[in-house]
Amino acid sequence: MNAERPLHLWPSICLSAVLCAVLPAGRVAHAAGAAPSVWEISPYKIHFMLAFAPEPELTPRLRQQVEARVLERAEKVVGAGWDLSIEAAPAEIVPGMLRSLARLPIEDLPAMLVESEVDKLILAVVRLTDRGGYEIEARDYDLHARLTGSPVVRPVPQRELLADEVFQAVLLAFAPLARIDDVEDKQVKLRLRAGSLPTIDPEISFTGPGSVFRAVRRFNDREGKLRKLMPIEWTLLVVDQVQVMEAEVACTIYSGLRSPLTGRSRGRDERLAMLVRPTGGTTQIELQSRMLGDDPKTVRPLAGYAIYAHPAGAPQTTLIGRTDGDGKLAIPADASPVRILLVKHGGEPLARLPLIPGLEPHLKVEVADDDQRLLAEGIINGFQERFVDLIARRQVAFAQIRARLEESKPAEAKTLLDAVRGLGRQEDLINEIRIQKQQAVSDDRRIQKKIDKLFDDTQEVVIRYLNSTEIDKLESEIAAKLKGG
Amino acid sequence: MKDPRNTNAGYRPQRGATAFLRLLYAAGVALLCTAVSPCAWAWQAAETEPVVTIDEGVRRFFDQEEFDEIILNDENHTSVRVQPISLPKRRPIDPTSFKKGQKLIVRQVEDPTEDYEVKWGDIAEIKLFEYVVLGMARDLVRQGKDDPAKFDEAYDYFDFLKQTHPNVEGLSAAVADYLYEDAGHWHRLEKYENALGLLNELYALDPTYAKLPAALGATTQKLIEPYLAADDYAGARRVLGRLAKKFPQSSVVTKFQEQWANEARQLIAKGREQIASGAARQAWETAQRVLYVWPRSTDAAKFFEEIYAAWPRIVVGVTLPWPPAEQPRLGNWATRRDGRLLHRLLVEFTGTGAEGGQYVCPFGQVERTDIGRRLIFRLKRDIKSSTDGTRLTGFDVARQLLALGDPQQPGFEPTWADLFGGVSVQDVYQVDTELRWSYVQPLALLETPVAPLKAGAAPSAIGPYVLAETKPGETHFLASTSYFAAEPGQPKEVVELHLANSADCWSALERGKVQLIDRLAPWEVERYRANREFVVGQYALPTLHCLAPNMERPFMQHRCYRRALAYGINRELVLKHHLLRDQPLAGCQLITGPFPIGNGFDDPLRYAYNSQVEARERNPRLAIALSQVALHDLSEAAKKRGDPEIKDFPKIVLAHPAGDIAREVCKGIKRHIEAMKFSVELRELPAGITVPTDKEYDLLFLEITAQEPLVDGARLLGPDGLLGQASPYMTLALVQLAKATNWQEARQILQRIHQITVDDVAIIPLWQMPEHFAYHRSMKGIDQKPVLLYQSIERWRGTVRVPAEE
Repeated sequence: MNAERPLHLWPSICLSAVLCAVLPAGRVAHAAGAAPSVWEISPYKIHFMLAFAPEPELTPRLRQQVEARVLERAEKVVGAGWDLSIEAAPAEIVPGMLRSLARLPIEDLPAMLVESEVDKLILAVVRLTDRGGYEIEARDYDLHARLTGSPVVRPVPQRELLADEVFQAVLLAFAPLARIDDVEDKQVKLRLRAGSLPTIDPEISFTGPGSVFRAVRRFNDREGKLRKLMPIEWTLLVVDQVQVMEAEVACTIYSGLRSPLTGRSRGRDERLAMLVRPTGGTTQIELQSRMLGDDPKTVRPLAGYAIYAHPAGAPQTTLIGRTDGDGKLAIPADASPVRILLVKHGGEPLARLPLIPGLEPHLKVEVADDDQRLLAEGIINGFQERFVDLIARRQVAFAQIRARLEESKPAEAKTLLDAVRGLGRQEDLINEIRIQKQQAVSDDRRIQKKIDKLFDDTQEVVIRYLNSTEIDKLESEIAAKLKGG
Repeated sequence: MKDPRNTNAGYRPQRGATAFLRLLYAAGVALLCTAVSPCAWAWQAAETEPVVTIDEGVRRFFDQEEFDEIILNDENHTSVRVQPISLPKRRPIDPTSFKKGQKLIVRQVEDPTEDYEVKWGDIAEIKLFEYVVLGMARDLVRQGKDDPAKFDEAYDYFDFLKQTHPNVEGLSAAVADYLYEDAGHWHRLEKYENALGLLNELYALDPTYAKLPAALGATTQKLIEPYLAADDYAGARRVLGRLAKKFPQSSVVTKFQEQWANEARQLIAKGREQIASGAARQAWETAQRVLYVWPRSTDAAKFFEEIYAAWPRIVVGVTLPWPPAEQPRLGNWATRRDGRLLHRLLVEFTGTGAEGGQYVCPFGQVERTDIGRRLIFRLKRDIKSSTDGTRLTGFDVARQLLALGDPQQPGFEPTWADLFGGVSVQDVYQVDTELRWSYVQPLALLETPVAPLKAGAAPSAIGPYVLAETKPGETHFLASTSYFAAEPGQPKEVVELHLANSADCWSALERGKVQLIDRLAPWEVERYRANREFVVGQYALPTLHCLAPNMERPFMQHRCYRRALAYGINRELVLKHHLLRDQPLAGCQLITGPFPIGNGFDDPLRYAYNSQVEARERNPRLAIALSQVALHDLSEAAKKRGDPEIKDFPKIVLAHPAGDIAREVCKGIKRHIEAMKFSVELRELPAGITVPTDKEYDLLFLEITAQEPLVDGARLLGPDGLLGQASPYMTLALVQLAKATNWQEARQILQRIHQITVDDVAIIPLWQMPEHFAYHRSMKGIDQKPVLLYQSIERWRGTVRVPAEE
């Protein structure tokens, strides 16, 4: 195929004309009063780039055939939603493509590609396998949201099936983009790009309940060019319902942030969401402490932190494991695509992180260094247990003293009371708490506050429960009995 | 006298005074006869067993009022029944020995109020009542030959006489005849055990009874035959032994002894042939057979020496056998012990120094360089790993170091996984290992077997012995032919004999059945020391005894409940009374935590012990109060969940290994916990198992060998350790311990771990127990204070001892 000659599926045809020509009347209908905006009726401008591994079997003629088939199938299956054209992959990215699309991030693409006017790049690669078959890998690079979709890999046993399978891979790799329209507490409404341009094949649906989107904020300049991009981390939107006619998708938001999405897309501030597909496999998370000030030396791996998980929407948590000496732990995929990770240290929840395992091989997580607090909690905990024993001992002894008094044995009661005095004094315990508190120091002010509270609360308990009121009372009773003979 | 009739299956119990006696006798004879089996009477043909019945309605002669009978010498020989005549000694009277005119004063049975005078000259005969009874009994015995029921009747007569007239002349002889005849009757019925019971009674009555040796010999022979048929020589010897004790010269005794001695001679000849043909190991089997057939064989001692010279074999008595399933090295005595036979470790612990454990690499040298950030192994070039000549190389070591840090591998060591920075092999035999930080003692993490990889075969461990056959109670280890450190004269085989209790251990060592006992019960140490034939050694490391709670059980999850149990046990009492039997034993001390206390403040083994931690003294009142807190909390939690209210404490299942140390301890602990009104069930684990894979227990009695707290802490208390769970505080402390870079820091963290263990009641610590072993003085080359029993197995030399007959 001639790489210089782009093949356009939708040359310069007026959008409205397309709508009239392609869409059946019934399927164009919108809810009364909800006229589609340009967003919903704007097709994706997609450049499709195919690379073949340098194998004798993978001839240029075969590539032409495949490309032509992809174009043909896109037209017949997807229809108006895609403005797909075939482009030759720039030579500098071909080696990276052939190596692995999963390891080819959007940042590695040439600027002229990324800054082009198209909405998406769909890259596909065909390789030979050791068993004599073929392997197709395809991936969606959304140039508007600057996000990548999940790579799709499909094995193909026969050459004859290659063209159709490449199209299937493209179809699976395609990740629709949506605009975040409305956010209300945990509920989000998305508006799908080209959502009002239904696919010709009604069986094809790019999203449905359970699908997952991830969010990004795009700040544009006056000319609509990208000024800044802000991925909204640790935030996933899980689809609850899809209103096909309105191109509207209702989602529940799962986020590790307090207010990840506020307001709605307006003007130059676009809030976007792109579909992600679970790929299976694992993601290794690396837990490290938050940087204090600007000192990178304060960042250290957090070892021994417990990671629990529960599926999105289900409360049953299970312990996945504890971070190793480097603060790392592999999170495997589960039946549910989204796993909500809970990072805990002792009784303290430190972070809540939604994650699609396998989507990224490695993720760094910054949380507060909680070691000093847990250390203090352990000390307090041990202290409290001993304190409970002490109080129990005193109560047992008080009961015995009262029994002696009732039996008119004040001398024995006095001996027992003297023994109670030796069990532990309030001043000694408070002093012990003070010493321990002085030693429990954290550089993190928030953590220090928690530590101080632990010690202060314990001191309060000691003051409340270990006082001499009961002893004084018994002492008077004993004295009275002794006097009375 | 006992009632022999009760040996008869057809006998029906009788009413009357003797019934109780008979019952007792029945029990006695039954016990006596359990060891023997039925066989046949020698001198007469067997008869069909008659149905013996007693006519309960018939009034026996002696049941009537006692009387004597005077026969007058008138024409009619008038008989007069008189009340028993008062005589200085009641024995048959000859009236002619009195003066004719002399008078005998009697009272008639019919007129007991009047005295009658009878001249001796008028008396033809006087029949004394008891002698009449005796005569009737004799008659019954005579009749018994034809009618066995008469034996039963005779018994009553003899019994009457024994009870009321024990001094009747001729009674013993009559009873002896009766016993003999009755025994003959049982013999003919092939009820040899009954016959033996009667003959033994006869022996007790009259050991000089003329026909007894022959009869006892015949019966014994019949009893021995089934034992021999079942190849039970020990049983046969036991039976013959009883006869030999009574009649050493009995022909039966001589016959069997000669027969067995002859068999033993043949076996010895066969064994010598086996030695000559190079099958010395099989000759040991033959030797065992010799001992089995005739332990008193005069040739046995020499034969044993010959075998030992050809195939040196050591038999070790072990209290815990080789486990049938994999067990953790930390908590399983046998796994540690036998590990030294089966594989050498990359580094081996040799003792405790000023800064933790000291380690050597048996395969070469190991060096720490670059301020502790690098380990260099320099391997010897001649470490063969198998008979085909495969040698250990640096690549094998490197592979093992990588495997140790791989969570998918069985020997995964989490701390090593973090610490391990990389490995490279120089010149095939040098292994350079990068460490990511300067860990206090990285070698402590490397006690791992090294198994060279062989193409197409499973990796073979490098060890002095290989596991041969195991059968119940016995494990055989055969010397590896390719072992790099083998020494000439090293035992070719080690046999471990499982001895279930300390009594068996003593007996086995004393009789020469074993040459060494691997572990002594603490109450037996002094007894062994007192025997000059034995040498007692002490292991370099003590064990720590503790109770591990099963945190999967709801009550055990409650700290107050765990503390309640800790407060409920009088540890000192269990230690001193149950384990030490009130005798002192140096090094035996109560502990408050999971680490060894050592033998004093200067003992380097004590480095992790926190002396500031207070011991939980027994306080049952506090224990009850705390347990009530737990009950209340759990009950409230159940109510909240909508579950039924919890009103009572569940039964506590206390699991412990099989063995009398654990058994004794747990018995004592059970008693103390039960004193708090808890119900406790002891669960003895299968032999060899110390840590069950199931969680069907509340408390598990553990014996941990205290070696290196630095790494043992995590192996016991860590989330992936023996206990299977750890509190977050413990986890944090263990993470910090893994990162410790100097001993001062490590010690502080270990002491904090000690405190956390107590606060969490992660375990209920009991005591530190020094461990001892004992061997016969003839054994040489055994270290006096070894870390592991077999650590000098290459130098062990023994002298064969022929086990004595039990």
